[in-house]
Amino acid sequence: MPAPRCALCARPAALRRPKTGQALCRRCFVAAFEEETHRAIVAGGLFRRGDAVAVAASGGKDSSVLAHLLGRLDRRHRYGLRLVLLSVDEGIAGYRDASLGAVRRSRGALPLLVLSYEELYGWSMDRVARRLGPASHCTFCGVFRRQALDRGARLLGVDKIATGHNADDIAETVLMNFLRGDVARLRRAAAEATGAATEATRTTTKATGTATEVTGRTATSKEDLGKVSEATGTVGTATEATTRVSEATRSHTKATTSPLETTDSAEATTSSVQATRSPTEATRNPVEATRSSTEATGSTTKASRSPMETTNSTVATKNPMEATKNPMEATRSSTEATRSPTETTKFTEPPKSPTEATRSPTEDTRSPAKVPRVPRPPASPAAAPWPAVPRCKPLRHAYEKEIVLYAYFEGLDYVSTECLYAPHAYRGHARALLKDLEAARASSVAALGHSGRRLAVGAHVATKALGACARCGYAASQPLCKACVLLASLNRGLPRLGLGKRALGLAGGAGGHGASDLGGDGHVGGDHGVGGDVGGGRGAGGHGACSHGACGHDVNGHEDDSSWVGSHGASDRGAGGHGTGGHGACCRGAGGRGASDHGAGGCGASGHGAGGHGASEHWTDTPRAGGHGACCHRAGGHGAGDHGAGGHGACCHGAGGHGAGGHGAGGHGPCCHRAGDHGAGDHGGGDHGAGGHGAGDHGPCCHRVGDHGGGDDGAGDHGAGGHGAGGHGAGDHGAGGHGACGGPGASRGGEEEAVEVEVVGRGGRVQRRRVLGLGRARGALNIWDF
Amino acid sequence: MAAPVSLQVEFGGGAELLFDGVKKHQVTLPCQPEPWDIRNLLKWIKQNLLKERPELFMQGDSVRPGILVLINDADWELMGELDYKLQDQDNVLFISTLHGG
Repeated sequence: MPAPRCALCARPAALRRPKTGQALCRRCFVAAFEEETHRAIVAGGLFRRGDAVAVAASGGKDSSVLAHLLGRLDRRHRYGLRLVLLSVDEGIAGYRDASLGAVRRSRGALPLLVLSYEELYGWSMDRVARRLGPASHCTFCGVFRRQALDRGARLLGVDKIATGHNADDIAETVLMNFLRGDVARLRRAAAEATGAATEATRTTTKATGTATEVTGRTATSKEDLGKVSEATGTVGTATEATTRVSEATRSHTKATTSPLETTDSAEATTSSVQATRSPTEATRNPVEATRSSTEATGSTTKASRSPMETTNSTVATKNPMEATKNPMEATRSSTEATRSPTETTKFTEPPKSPTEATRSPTEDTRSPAKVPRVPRPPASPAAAPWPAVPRCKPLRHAYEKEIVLYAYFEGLDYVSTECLYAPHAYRGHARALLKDLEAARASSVAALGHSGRRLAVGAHVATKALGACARCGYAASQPLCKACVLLASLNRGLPRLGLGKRALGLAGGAGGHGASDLGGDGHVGGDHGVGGDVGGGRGAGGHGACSHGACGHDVNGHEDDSSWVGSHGASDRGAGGHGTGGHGACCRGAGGRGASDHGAGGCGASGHGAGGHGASEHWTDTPRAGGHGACCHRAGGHGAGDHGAGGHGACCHGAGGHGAGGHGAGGHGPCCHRAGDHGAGDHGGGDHGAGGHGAGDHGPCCHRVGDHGGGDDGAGDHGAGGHGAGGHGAGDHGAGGHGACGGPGASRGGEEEAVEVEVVGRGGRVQRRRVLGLGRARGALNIWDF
Repeated sequence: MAAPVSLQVEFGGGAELLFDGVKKHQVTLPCQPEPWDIRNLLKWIKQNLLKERPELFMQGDSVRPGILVLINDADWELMGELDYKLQDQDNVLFISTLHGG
């Protein structure tokens, strides 16, 4: 049977397009595929002229096609992009080394940066797998990869990360999340831009009240805001958009005065974006968003700068197509929506200076002290996370079949080795199901993606907003990001603890601040005793949360879960203790020691707070007391005097070294730590340094550099950074601060840590370089001049 | 009785991993009463070429969904799929879309 003819020319057809059933010859297909991708890019507002874009390159079919296509489209349509390949070496022998070879071979003239898990986290996937046993590899790997890409992107200073996710991948994800009942991910799954951006825009729609002014006109309903957000291109409208590019473009041109900032800031504030009314804000910055943290405290802070940008960019515009096309959208959009000035340029020019234009006085209720303008670690889990680099999926509407055929017809060199661990992945089931669905009805792939994008979650369904990881500062929907949780569990030799619900507790503990974790070790020292560490250890710090949890118990030997909270101290310290957990730390400690000792107080939730002190007393007596850092914290705790109020934190350390206290402490009384106080010496350990942080966070002041002295802690394993030592004071901390704490991980994430990366310049020069501040200082590596 | 048919059978996109990593195979299908079509070819491949995990290549009497089949560089969906009657010197390519990415 001869092949039918191409629907567009007379040549023999080479394939039947899955979505439309249209038969096309090779040449017409390649042209159509490229044109559609181009239109999706334009309609979705994925890039802005002059953007630096990192293409996440695995060496597989999707990313190879993506890199090839972006290069070609950029030349053809003069996007003006600066493209770079970003690869992650997971450390999977026989798999990733082969595919990285393909990336190196086929990179053309694009520069390439390769980051490895080994360098970033101290663990290759092969080692993780040996530790893990038969399952869950992909969970670890995926979580680490996501953050690795973020770090690489920040290092390069790129504006966007483009990933090769295709329509099938997105449909699989939608299915998987349905099967798991993961509502939060469902919300984010099919978003065109970064998950966080979507989150932000959706949250925005929940705004209690918004005043959006667009070039003199006002769109007042929250629905508008949501709608507008859609128009910014953050959400997938491209499928439909391809048929009406001009409209979409028109709206997004305006809407995305600065698409980059949009997502960027969105990411930074996702947790927060609660729009509040700010009638006084002029036209450029119609909406004020407040941080979630401030919501928590009930304060009405002015929007932080990023949320503003977010809303600024969302200012927008009416996108009539959206409204009519999608009933859901339609109901959301208000009739007042204004229409944006018509601009038909394909690409939006960079905004003159949207940031300045929109920046409004920012008051952060939580940090009264002047905060250094350098990146700094979030003050608390609720704080804005590090602005993650926005992501986009230019191939989101492309069927896998077409990608594979495109690669075949274009002769692209890609590697199709199956990851050794993939057969165990849950995704495989979703994939098999999808393929069966596709065989029955080809359009189901696109339909699932569309469903994911259009999914509406009832207002009563609470999903966690993204915040910042208390340890590393990257986006997290929990106090600690999953990467830090998993890493902490690995480093503790209990990798499975990082999985599942409980993980939080543990981690959490950690969460506390990272400190804890590390702290853990610290404790060991006997202070807490094992138990301490474990659970408590961290927990402790954790402040709160963690505290309780987990830790405690396990360690203590309460085997039963019940313990969780109670566990600990429960008894001893009294629930309350932990409660707060914060102190939880103590708790453990407590536990460790005689419960009594600490007494609840110890923990007292207040842990820090007042309670804290209570603790103090104990402590005092009890030698150990100090030990725990936890207690420590409490001011009194420690030598009360010592630190004084601030004490706590500080103290803690001192004592505990554990960082645990550290934090918390820090948290609080910034001052506390006066330099001398801790002094590295104190902690000596530095170990915990951790604690350090806390401090840092909060009271910036406190730590003066000298205080902790980076050095000291530095060592600190963890913490070192912790406090980064100096960090704080220095302002550094900022980031460093915690991050550091993170423990190995921590340290690795810390500002001071140098990580070796592979850089391949345009000309093919390969170099291994040690870079500082990986993932922190934006644009620290100028790969284009390499 | 159909005459023997010589074909080039190729595997790509990871499908070759099920065939000892060999991508190109020159095969000659023996004489048989009915003409050779893809359905019969798949059976023959399963019995003669496939080295491991047949379930990753076959599903029922067809290829596993997600494996593309090109006959002389044209999508088999345009050619009658399983019913395509093989001609001497045809090139049949199987590309897995299920691997990597």
